Amino acid sequence: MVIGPLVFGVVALQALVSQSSFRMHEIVRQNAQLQQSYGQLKLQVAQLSAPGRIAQQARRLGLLVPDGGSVHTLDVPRTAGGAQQPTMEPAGFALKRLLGDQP
Amino acid sequence: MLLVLALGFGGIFARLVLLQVKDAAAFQALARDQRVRDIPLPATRGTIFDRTGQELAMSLPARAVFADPYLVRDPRSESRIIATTLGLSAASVFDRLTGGGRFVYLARGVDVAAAKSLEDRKLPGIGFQDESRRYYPAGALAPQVLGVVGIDGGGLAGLELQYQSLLAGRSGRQVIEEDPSGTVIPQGANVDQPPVPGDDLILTLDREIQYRAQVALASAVRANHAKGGTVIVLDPHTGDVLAMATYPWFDPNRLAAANPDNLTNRAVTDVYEPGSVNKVITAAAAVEEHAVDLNQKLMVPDSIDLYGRPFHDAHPHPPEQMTLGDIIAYSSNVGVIQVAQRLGQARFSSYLYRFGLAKTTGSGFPGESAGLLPPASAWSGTSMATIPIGQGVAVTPLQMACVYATIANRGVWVQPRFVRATVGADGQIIDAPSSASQRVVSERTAGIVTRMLAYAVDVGTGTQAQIPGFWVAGKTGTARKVLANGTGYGNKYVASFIGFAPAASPAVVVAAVLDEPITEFGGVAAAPLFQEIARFALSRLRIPPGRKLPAPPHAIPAG
Repeated sequence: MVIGPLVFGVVALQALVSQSSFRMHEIVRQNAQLQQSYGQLKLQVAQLSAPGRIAQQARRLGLLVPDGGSVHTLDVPRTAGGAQQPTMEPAGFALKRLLGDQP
Repeated sequence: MLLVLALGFGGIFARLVLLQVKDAAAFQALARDQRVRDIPLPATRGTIFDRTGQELAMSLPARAVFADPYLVRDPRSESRIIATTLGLSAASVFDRLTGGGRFVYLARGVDVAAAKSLEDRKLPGIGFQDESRRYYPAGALAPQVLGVVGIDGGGLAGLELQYQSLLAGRSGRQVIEEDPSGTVIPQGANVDQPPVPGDDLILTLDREIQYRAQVALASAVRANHAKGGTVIVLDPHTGDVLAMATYPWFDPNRLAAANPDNLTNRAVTDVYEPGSVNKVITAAAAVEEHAVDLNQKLMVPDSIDLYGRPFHDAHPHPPEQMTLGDIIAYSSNVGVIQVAQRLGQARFSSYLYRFGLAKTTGSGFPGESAGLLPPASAWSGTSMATIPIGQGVAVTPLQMACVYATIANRGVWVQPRFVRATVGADGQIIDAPSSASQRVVSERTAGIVTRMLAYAVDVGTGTQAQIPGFWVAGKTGTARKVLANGTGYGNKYVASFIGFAPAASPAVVVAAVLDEPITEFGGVAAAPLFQEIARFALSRLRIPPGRKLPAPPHAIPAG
């Protein structure tokens, strides 16, 4: 009476564990694929936003680089001194913590 | 019958004992080898960003495809399939598959998707390894600064080499158990050592300034029929290298096609005789040491004889009264030699060292040169004529840019740097320490020399460096090149212009150097290049124009 359900329980538990394990394996595989695709997209964005490519596209559209006399600084948010420190995108670097240690 | 059964069971029992007891360990190991796989997990190499967080170099997972020619059954058919899938030449793949040996790479850095489609064909004798591939998404942008990585992913040159230990990260491993069909056995051996990705580098380079500097440099080299050229853009207050380019360059994504001569970052590794841009050191030393009064007028002929050797100004002129301001503005060799003689060898040579000549800048860039400056004890009689005008001394363009950055930074020399910060595996941004600095001349001296340099651009040899709406300070340089055999000077020149803007509150220092231009004079060949780059950098950094500086005392009427 006792042994029957016990054996059934153990077998059922084992099946559940195995099922979860297979699912986890599949998720790990999907994760790797998504990371690969994320990396490819990042590369694509970097390639598309490269200054050389932008300049090429601009030339195709007939745009010209203005000469020096045409550039006027109207809004100056800081006084003269050292070069302005451009902002960075910390969100992008924070992703490294999440993605960096994945195989 | 019983005996036969007993013997049979006895035999089985004996065999069991052999298998389960005596040879158990060996069979266990054999079974383990069949189902357990130890997979190395390569670490992702750190990304290199520009100062605004734009990727300049990044790595993506890739695969290496190799073959064991001994196990390949049909080399002709396999080579066709491999070549089609990977975009290779079938003949070269066939040669490798039939070349003997037990291991040969067919392709490295293969895109994961392409490798997967080949793997699915299950070709006998063909294997795959995980690795990564380095990409430079902006192409030939600062290639000599970034450097290159080898086929095995290690840095070979430039910042890739300098920061190899930071960028490389640490590999990991994964141990799994598989059934005969390759399915992972749940709850089997499962050792996980995740790889630690390499640190990212955030450089001081600005991608946009770098690009515009390269476009301007390439155009100036072509327009002047020059052999090559170098440009540097520095922030004089922090030492940040905002741009650095050497033409001709190469595309790091196609390293195999690159000319090896173009791989080096000549702005840091190669030296040249600076010519008249070196006069700023003579002027600063003279002002600091009160060797010449600013209002003092010297009678300057157009040539002078020293130890039997004549030294000329660039253009003939009758003896003229000149102040130090005039001498710098019109770049008089004879005038500078007279000033240097008033200064004396000991005091003059000490300023060369103070301004950072004859030693590396300490940037740590691989292969950085210290330049060439003979010790003062080894100077000949004419050294006090040649070195003040920038001949007989060799510097890197970066060293010379730092000299002008010192004047722009109110007399304080700041060590140049390429890296602003690093990003650790946890995503934490760690700022690089501030650059080392040292006072070279007083703020007063730097201010006076700045006025002289601004005057040189306003009315002197550097008028082509003027930027509409801004006041610029700078100096032209024209230096004859030493013959390749070192026996003297030939008829080839290096033309340069180094300066900063705005003159009253400097934000950028730009060094423009052209190698063997058809027009040798720095004011004609290099000043327009300086102007174009400085103008864009000022606009990009949103620098206000600043005020005009008063002209230094001068004897020659302006204009």
